[in-house]
Amino acid sequence: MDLTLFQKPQINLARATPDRMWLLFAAGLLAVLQSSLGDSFRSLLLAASVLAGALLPELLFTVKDRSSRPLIDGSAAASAMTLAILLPNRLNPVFGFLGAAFAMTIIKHSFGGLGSNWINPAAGGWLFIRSAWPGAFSAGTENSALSRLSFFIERGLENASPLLMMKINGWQETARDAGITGFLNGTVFSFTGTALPEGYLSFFSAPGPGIIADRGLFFLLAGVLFLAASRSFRLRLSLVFLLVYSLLVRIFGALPFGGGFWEGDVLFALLSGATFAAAFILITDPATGPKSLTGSLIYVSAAAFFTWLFRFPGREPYGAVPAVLLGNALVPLIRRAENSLFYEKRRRP
Amino acid sequence: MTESRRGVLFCCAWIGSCLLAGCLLWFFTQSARTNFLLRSANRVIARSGDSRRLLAADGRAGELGTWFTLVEVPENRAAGGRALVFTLMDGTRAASCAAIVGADKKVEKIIPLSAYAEMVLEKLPEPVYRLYVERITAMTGRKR
Repeated sequence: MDLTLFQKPQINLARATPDRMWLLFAAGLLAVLQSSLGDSFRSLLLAASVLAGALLPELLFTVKDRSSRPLIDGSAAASAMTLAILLPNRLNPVFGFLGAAFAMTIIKHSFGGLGSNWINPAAGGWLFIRSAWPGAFSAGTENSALSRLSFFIERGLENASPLLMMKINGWQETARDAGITGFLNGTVFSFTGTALPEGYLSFFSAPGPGIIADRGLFFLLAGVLFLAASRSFRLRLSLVFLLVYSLLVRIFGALPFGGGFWEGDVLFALLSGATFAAAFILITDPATGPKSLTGSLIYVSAAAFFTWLFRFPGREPYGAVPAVLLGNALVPLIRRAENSLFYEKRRRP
Repeated sequence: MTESRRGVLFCCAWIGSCLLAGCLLWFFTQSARTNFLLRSANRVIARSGDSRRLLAADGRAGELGTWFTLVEVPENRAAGGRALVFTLMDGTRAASCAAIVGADKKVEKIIPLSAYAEMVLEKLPEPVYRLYVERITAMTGRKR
């Protein structure tokens, strides 16, 4: 007997959508606040502008729909805050507003609203700003440690680790870096016989220009750890993404810097370029990913591969975001395969 | 949502996905492709016995190709000139070549970057060759 399953596959998360959305919003807001403390609240102004750009179209689209509660479900606010942390802190807030409006209007609502979008609205908004105003985006990241690093690699400066190259090119460590690194080396790492080089801890509160997710990494991580602890997303997907990405970076990551195989700097790759924002926020969006575990693992592995491809051979400092978008673009293919393999016309004995 | 509307949306997502995937791959691997081109060109230049190497991309030369800066090896000091990696068209045949432009902004030589390009360049009529030399020389004078 053939049995056709009409119920679409679901992803079961411990928390309801509004709870998850507001927690995500709070995690993003924490990163924005950390970034704001070091740039005279420019990050906060940008985030407010992005929020306005997201909420206005959301209200316009749902004004006639009495069943929807756009402000209460928190999806627009969460998308806005996710987009805000992916933008350079010095970006003109007008572009942030337009990017958020594009994300809500074209990406989210033209495909049916919450849960029906085919790519992540925040990542789509980021790509829109990056493509429509490349000069403004580049100006926003000008003189940031990562853009200077790309600049010098393109001009043939090699034979050094990325961190060393960043230090040579003006990367400023924070005042507390040396003290905390020394303490960790004397206590935690002394048992393993390893030592953490100075400079890595500065990534947790990067003082220079850059995207907000990098500038507010410490509080962003604190926020996503809370999200993970409250089982608001599928943590194993994030871990697989980070594992595959780290492995690729370890094997091939030193080649663009003049190094050899198995010499890649994994810490640098993880702590910069919005990697954690991609791993814990973008990649775990249940609406834009496959439903089955097998499909999801293929999806995150592909996204990790593209992150490495764009970031290292492609020299795009924020390659994690377009990599997730490319992963999103492959999802219809994966869903089709998983539908025919797992969800349709299962024959029962 | 009706079945037909769902189908249209699904088709749009498919087409959009294909376009997005192609554009993202093309745009964000530009550096990787330039690097690949640079290494291939340097291998051929090294085989031709030239002591100069292409260092880094230095802007586009209109629709013709890409400019690269030149360095002397092994010292890695600036060689004073530039190289243009471009596709030479002879009728229906296309060949990848590198034109070495000296510090005096004159084309010193055009190096074929593959065996096929070498064959095309050997059979290239002199007026076409001169046309390319003149075109590249004219481009060296333009502000980037």
